[in-house]
Amino acid sequence: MPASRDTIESVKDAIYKSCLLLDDFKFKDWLELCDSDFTYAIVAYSPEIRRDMTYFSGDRKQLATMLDLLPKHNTDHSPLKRHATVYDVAVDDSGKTAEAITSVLIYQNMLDGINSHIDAGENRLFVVGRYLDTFRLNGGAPKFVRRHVRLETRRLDKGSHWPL
Amino acid sequence: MPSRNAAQWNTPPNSLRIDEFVDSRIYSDPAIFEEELEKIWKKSWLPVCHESELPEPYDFRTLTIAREPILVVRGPDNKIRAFLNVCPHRGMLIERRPSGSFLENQASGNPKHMTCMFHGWQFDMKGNCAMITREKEGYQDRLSRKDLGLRELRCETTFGNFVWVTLDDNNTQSVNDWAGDALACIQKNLDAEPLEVFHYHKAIIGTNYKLWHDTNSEFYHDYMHYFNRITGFTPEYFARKNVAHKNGHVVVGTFEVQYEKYQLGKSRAELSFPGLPPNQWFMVDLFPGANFNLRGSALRVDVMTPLSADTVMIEFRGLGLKRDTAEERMRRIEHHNSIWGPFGRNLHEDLLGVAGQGSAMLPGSEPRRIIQARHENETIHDEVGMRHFYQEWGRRMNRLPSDPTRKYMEAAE
Amino acid sequence: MAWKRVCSVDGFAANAVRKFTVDGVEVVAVNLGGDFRVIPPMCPHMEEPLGESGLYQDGVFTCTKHLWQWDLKTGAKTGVAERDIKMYRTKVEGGELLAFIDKPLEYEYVEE
Repeated sequence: MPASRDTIESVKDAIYKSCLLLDDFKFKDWLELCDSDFTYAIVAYSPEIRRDMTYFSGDRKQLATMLDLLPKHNTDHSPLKRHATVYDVAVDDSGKTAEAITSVLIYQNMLDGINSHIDAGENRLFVVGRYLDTFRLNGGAPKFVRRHVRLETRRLDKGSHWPL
Repeated sequence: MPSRNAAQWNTPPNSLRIDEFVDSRIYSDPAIFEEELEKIWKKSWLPVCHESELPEPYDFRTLTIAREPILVVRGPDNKIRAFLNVCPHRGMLIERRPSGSFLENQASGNPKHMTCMFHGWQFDMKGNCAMITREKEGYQDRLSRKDLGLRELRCETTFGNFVWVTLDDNNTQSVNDWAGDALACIQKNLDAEPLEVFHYHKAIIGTNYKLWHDTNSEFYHDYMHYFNRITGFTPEYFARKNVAHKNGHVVVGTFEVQYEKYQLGKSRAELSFPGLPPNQWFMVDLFPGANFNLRGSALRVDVMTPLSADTVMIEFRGLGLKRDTAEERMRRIEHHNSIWGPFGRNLHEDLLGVAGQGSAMLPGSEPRRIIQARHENETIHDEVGMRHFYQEWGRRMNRLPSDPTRKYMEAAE
Repeated sequence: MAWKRVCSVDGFAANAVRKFTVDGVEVVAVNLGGDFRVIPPMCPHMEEPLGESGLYQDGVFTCTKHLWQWDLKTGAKTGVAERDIKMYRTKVEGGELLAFIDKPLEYEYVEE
């Protein structure tokens, strides 16, 4: 039975909501969108070593701990902002899980930069990739079970302490 | 202590010896940079990649050293060779991709050959010119394939089967002659079993390559890392040695890492490298700009490619054992990533440090003293590593690091 | 019994060059226009896969990498080619192209 438009829309809503929350640094609220067994990873394929790589991984608890400790870390202050478009949502036959593919571009809005006097206010593209999300559908709002941020980008310059 | 006016700022304290500071112009002067490429980067051995990046015969990798394009290829005899990635005909880059296999057919060339797409000249894996299109028609008896092989570069596969290349044919030292002393502490761990690269990323940072190398050579900057402060500053930590080796290399000694205190759960004690006791660690900083960093569960290797006085590309690799099970590999990757990954704790902070230095030492900024004066019995917060590097640098460049307008002289003891 | 079935003649267009694996032996078959030839899969020059790079038109078979050419009626080289092409015996029986493949025909290539 084909998935209802409502189900598909609710999955898209969850994805876009995650982008809003991450953009606004509302990490606790973002994790609330995720189920208790949520796992997160940033992955990429490297043509240099011709291998799939995991750049970062963690479960919900590890992410929460990491995000709690963040204020104690020296970090670049330039916020990351996302532009995302959901390309595809596939709901399985049981109607209990869904998978989505979302194209995402993540920009840095420069604040510290290298020299904030010169760099602040500029936008730079940081990474390009896709959110590959898996959801549990319980009747209420879809809950994230797994997010893989599959990056094309391997030139990561200073990197980031924040989730993508 | 009071702030200083310009004259006071520019006068070194009387107690500072000439090897205890460097002049920031060594990090910012474009002419010095060009000289470094000629005198240092074109003359040193560099660990450009790992053999696991080209595992099969006919596999290749491309890279650059001091702006020269290099092709590293594994022959059908399984031996890895390096060539200038330049066609002897009209100077075209022969292979444009970062990696691949010459077993595959090419648009202008045949399997088992390197083909320059421009005029279809082909070369074999030993650098022989195998084929010149319409050779006799154009060159008659004057020029032939046998005159036009590739330029082969000295290349060794060693120390964990890293591929080392030098642009200098006159460099008669082997990698072992040059860096064997410094790498001795980890050699048996690197050579015990075949290694495999599992992590690769790159950063292009607005800073001089030596500033990144300095950060890899000194650990006083552990103050910038939250977890190092709360878990790492133990008596064992402060007892670790910071040892200078010939040819400008530096080694920092072993260290019992207290991971439990850092809320990430299980100790990393279980997984290790062959022959390396759990929770031990070695860091080898090789002149002029590579770093082997072996912790309990992952080997990290950084290699730099300086692009200009104020820009450097750093390639970051993480390695495990080829025989890792999927579970062991995932644990190594997680351990590697949590500290050294691009989205982990420490690397971002280290890069912030050197990027900030770079922004304050742009070409044309005022010459400043960069102090490297810590003496602590050659233990971990001693800055002997940097002083030793700049001794070697000064000799090779024949410039005094504390005043690069003057010729090098040994620092008065 | 080394006559082996390569393929059906039906649907094999004139001038087409196609690769087949016959009992583990790779071959290339060319339709000369009613007549067929079955040859080893690689060019005798530098091992170019003829299934990808071979072109048959106007009675001439060309390897498009370095433009070696042959008269496939006989396998004889023409133009700049320096070696002949080896050929398997062929016949068409009952709408099927058969080739006599006893052991694979191979060329010797210079390896440095």
